[in-house]
Amino acid sequence: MNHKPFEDLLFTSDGLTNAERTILHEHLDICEDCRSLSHAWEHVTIEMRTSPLAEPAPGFSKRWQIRLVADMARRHRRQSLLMLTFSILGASLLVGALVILSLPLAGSPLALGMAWLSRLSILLSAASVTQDILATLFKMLANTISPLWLVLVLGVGSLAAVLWAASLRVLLLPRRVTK
Amino acid sequence: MSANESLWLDQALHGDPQAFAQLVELYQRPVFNLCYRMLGTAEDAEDASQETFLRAYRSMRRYDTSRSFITWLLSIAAHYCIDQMRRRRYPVISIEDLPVPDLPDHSPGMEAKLGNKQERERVRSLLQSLDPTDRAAVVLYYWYDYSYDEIGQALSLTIPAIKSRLHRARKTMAESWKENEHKVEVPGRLAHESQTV
Repeated sequence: MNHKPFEDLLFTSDGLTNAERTILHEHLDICEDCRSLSHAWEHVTIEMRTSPLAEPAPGFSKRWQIRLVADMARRHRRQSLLMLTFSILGASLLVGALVILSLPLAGSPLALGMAWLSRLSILLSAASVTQDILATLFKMLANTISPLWLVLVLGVGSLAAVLWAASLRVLLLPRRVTK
Repeated sequence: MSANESLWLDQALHGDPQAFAQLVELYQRPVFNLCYRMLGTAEDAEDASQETFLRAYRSMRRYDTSRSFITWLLSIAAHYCIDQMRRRRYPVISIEDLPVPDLPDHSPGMEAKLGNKQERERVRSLLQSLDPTDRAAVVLYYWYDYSYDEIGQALSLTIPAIKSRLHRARKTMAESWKENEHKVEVPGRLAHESQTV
């Protein structure tokens, strides 16, 4: 005999209709296997329903607090170690780069000095050109846009910056419990 | 939820360890019970429940206040225990091979102690025969009276999956019980037969 349909009814999570209950009881009356399984399940249910919540040994929250302190100290140590490792790594990289850069210095220090001076002068001239461009741009803007518009644009820009800072603060704050 | 609980929860959300310690005091029993039913020994349950509260404390910023706090805690505990069981590859042990675990017992008399010990052993044996996730579903259903939806939320499973797991777990436990009863009956019957001969 195929017992699976009756086992499905016996262990269902959906509850039984009256018709299904009748079918199951009729089968249990004639089938010893399913009847003993049904009795076993009744015992199991009683055991679980009557079994109380297990309790930890007294002082659980004190032990947790000690563990929390130890855990925080461990995490702090780990972070410090990580920072130290990164610092050492960064410093090593910088020293390495410095050594590589200063290698040609040993051969011809004058040529290296000249090259650096040339780079510096290029940078200075680029900065000067940028300054000239920006000054011309501002003069053009001042001539085309009226001072009122300039004040309005600056005002809107400042307001947007304040709103941005405020929204950032609201988003980063922890949520409040409303119960 | 009481006013004190809300206050502690609010303070804990702002990173107050003292307020969280009050929540540990309040919820230690349900969390410990779940870990004990899952792992089977008081030592493992103590370690798992302590770790559960540590993880919860560290993840407080991620706690969704629209959800029940205890359901969130039990979810962390269940996932941690399932992970531990899979990592350690807890074997599925036959009922008669299991030792009785040590658990602080506050019962008054010797009879009650023995009764409790036997009962603990029987329940533990039944749970040990289950897959870790099935075990978690059974514990949440029978010890905490959680609905399928709540169990689904705690274990990150769908309701049909929970129903299917509970169905399988019920069958496994009933068969284990039946098998164990037969094993107990057989030696008794043999002893009776030898007396009559």
